[in-house]
Amino acid sequence: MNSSQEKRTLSSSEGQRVLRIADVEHFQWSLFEADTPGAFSANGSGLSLAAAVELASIETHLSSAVSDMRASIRVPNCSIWSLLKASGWPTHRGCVELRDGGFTVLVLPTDAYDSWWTERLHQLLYELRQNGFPARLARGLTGAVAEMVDNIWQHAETADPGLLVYQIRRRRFAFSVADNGVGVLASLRKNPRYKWLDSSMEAIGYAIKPGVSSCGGGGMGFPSLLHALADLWGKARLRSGEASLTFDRTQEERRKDYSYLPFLPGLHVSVRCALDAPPAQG
Amino acid sequence: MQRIKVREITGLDTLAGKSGGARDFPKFMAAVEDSPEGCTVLLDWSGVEIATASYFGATFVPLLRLTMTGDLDRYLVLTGLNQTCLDELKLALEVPGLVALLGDCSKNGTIKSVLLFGKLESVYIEAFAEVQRAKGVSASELHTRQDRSRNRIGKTGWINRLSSLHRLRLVRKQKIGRRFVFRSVNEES
Repeated sequence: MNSSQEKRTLSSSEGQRVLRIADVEHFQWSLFEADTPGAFSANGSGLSLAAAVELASIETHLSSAVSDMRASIRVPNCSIWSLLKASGWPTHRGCVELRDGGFTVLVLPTDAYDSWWTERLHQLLYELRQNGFPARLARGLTGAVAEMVDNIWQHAETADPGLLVYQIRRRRFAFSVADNGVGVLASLRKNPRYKWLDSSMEAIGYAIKPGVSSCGGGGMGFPSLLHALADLWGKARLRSGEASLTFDRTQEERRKDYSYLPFLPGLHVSVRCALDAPPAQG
Repeated sequence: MQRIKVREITGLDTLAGKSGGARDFPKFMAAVEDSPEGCTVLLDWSGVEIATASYFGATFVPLLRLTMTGDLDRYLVLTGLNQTCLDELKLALEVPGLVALLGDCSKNGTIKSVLLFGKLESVYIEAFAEVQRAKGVSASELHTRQDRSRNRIGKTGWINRLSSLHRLRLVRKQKIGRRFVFRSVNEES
């Protein structure tokens, strides 16, 4: 980036605080409103998993859309971002597994025919069980991840590979499945029944319903995901185009929050869940 | 009865996604077509850890539809599904409004009894239960047998109910003389 150009910088103001989705959304709004190069820096302990993957997508989109308006994104001491940044958005499809700092980053293969992918699913199932998830929930979560990855193969329509990043800790699991494809709106509009949809927000709202798909006989992926999360605490976020939808079960009362955001290509599905309720606030 | 071990025909214990289903559907189809026409096919999911709703939607659901349209003259019974797979199967059946049969098998592999899995109106559930109890029954037998103190169902009512169950491939239908006899799919003549 030209140093003489104006920068809009968003950084962690609380020292070691991990930057989260809200910070990334703020950064994206600042880029959107200012229409000038932006800089994002995390000075502390890095980014949350979902934030890292969304940032990678923002950077990829900006660099490909407007070459002279690159966003400078620096996140020192954060291995997950280093991995994603170093690879750009991975240009070569498939069969790459990187493990660092408790994160597993998978650059996904082109289709379900791959035995490597089946082995990775076995590994994920094994790790979930080893970390205290009962068999039924571990199977449900592994199946949900597989469904989200299959969505990429079915609907993304991009040469860029999909990414799966996950982290498992004792009785906790976080993952993000992302692609730089056409997104939920363009995909659903391929089905004549949903041709009338004209916003990402409407499209996401429909996509989570059983049986809604760009082609006949599909539309089970999101219901599988939501079913797998039904007995767990945490959050699930779907982000595509100008919309995000968050299922929040960090409290007894479940909430569903929609919000409008600047455009993000493809579909990002990020989940953070736990077997135990979060500690009570205050 | 023909038993098909899903774990063996697919070579996998993790069966996920529509893509995976599209890959494996020809294997299911070939295995089912290998069985004699009109027979009961037991799809044994033992050893399968994960099978997702999309996978069922791309494999079992189209097979079930083929049996219902009469293009595939078989009776499908599922067995050996773990709880996670059952949850996913339920999702897969809910959207198209289909009903499947779950088989309870004995140690020697024969089907002891079958259960309905999916949403079905209560009148059909009652008729299905009558067929399971009777081990071969006609509409007129059910009509004459019913409790006279309750609201009686007409003979046509029984014919419609039993015929619908057969159309869904949930009971067998056999012509004996001038009458149709309906029996459980685990009773092969």
